[in-house]
Amino acid sequence: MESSQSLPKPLAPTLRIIGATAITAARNKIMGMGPLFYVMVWSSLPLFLLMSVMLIYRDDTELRNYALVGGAGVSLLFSMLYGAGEILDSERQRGTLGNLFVSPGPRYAWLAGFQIFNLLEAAFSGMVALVTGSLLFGIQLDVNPLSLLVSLLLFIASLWGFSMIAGAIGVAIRNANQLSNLLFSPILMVAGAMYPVDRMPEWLRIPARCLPFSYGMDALVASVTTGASLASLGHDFLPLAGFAIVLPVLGIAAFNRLERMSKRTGSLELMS
Amino acid sequence: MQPVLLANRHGLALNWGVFHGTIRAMMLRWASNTIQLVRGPIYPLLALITYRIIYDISGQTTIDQSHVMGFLVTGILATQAWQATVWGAGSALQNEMWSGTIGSVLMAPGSSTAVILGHTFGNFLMSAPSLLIAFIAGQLFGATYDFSHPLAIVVALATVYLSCVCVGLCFSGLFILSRNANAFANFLQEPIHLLGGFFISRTLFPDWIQRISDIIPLAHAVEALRKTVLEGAPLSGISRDLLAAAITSSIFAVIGAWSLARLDRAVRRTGTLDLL
Repeated sequence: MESSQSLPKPLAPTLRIIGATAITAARNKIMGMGPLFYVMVWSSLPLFLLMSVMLIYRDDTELRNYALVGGAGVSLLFSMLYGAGEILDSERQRGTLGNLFVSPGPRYAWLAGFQIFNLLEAAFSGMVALVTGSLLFGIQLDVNPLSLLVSLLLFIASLWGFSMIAGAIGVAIRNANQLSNLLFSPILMVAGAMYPVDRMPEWLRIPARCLPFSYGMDALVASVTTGASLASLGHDFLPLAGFAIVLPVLGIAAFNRLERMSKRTGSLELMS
Repeated sequence: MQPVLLANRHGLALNWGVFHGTIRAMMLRWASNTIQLVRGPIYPLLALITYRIIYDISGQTTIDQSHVMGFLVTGILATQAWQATVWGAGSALQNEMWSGTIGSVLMAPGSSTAVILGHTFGNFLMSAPSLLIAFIAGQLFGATYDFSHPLAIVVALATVYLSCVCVGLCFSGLFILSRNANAFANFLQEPIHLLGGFFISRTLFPDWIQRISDIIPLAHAVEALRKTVLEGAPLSGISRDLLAAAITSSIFAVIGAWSLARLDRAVRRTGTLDLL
């Protein structure tokens, strides 16, 4: 097993693992809940949270526009953070997490598969929030597709890395879902999903600027509501690009460390 | 056979034992989970701060003539009551299902309602530290409370919790049958926060949302609590809200009791409850 880990992995099998894991995760989740129930659950939080915030911001167009896109951003945060934790916890509860870890495929491949499904899920609930919010509150969007694409790529890479780190810690402490629960509220507070960073209180801007979320949200909002160009978003893209490189590397390192630890202690499938 | 006879003769004592035992087991489980111990008190505090920031940014300092923080603290209280009921029961049932013990829990001679109520009240107790922290934080950030009618406050508070129990009871059958109690509780959380007017005045709702909101007992109970805690209304001043909460709660409770009774019979007949 150890020797196979050190061999260079061809891309095709890795991609197959990613694809198969994504499909399995989708089937498990959607068919497990039933399609209707699944749609209700995953669109509820962003949609109703968005409606709450939009009602509070009813008299301020700029804030309403911000909150609308921020609502879609919440979907992204929610899916990426909870998706990994929930799936890993489910695997552990089913007694299959150990099998995943001792399988010869790279850990980040199956985790990436889970995350791709989470991304599609986030895209769906984000779109629901965006379209419903636009229709209900009559908001006109001004989208710059290139800026939006770059914003999404960098933001998703950062979130993927972050969720890998959180997932590794969650599995190590044998409660990934609870860890996501613990992290979600403070992240939501500093993420700039419900208010722009420059209107946050001073004490909150410091942690907000140390994390990738606010840069990603800022870039997303600007590229969707004001049609901001790539050049004008440089102040967001630069730090976000840094996070998009560093966090996935740290995430993969965290999972490798978790793998070594779990092989040494054999405690991966203990329930508490 | 013996346990059934015992249940018939001493049903109340048996169910009290089930109720008490469920609470104790929950407490022990909760105390062994470090993340939950940390998260419990932090979550309402963060929600309070987040909403305060949102209102500050939008330039609103009062909601329905009350200070924003007072309004939000009562909203936090309602979320805690709601979570204790629906999340508590939902997650607990799902955990029993995952552990393969839900069948045993429901087949045992004690009533399943006693188990669900045990989870609910266990969660009420566990939410006490969070409420205290939210209350203190509210006062530090400018909330003012009026305790001139303590009886009205106690009645309104009890109504909030009882409303939650009734709504939770109504959905508990669906929680079990759906085999996705946790997901279902997830789905209900934000709509109830919105429709119950936990963080937003219900006067802002469009008419059609207002009508849906009127069906939710919690919305009336929270309004009663706000009137008495924030405006100093006496019992007579909140009687309309209490009546509305009582009527809607009764409807939810009747549906809940009916569906749980049917569920008890159905799961005994089909024996499919442990299937995932």
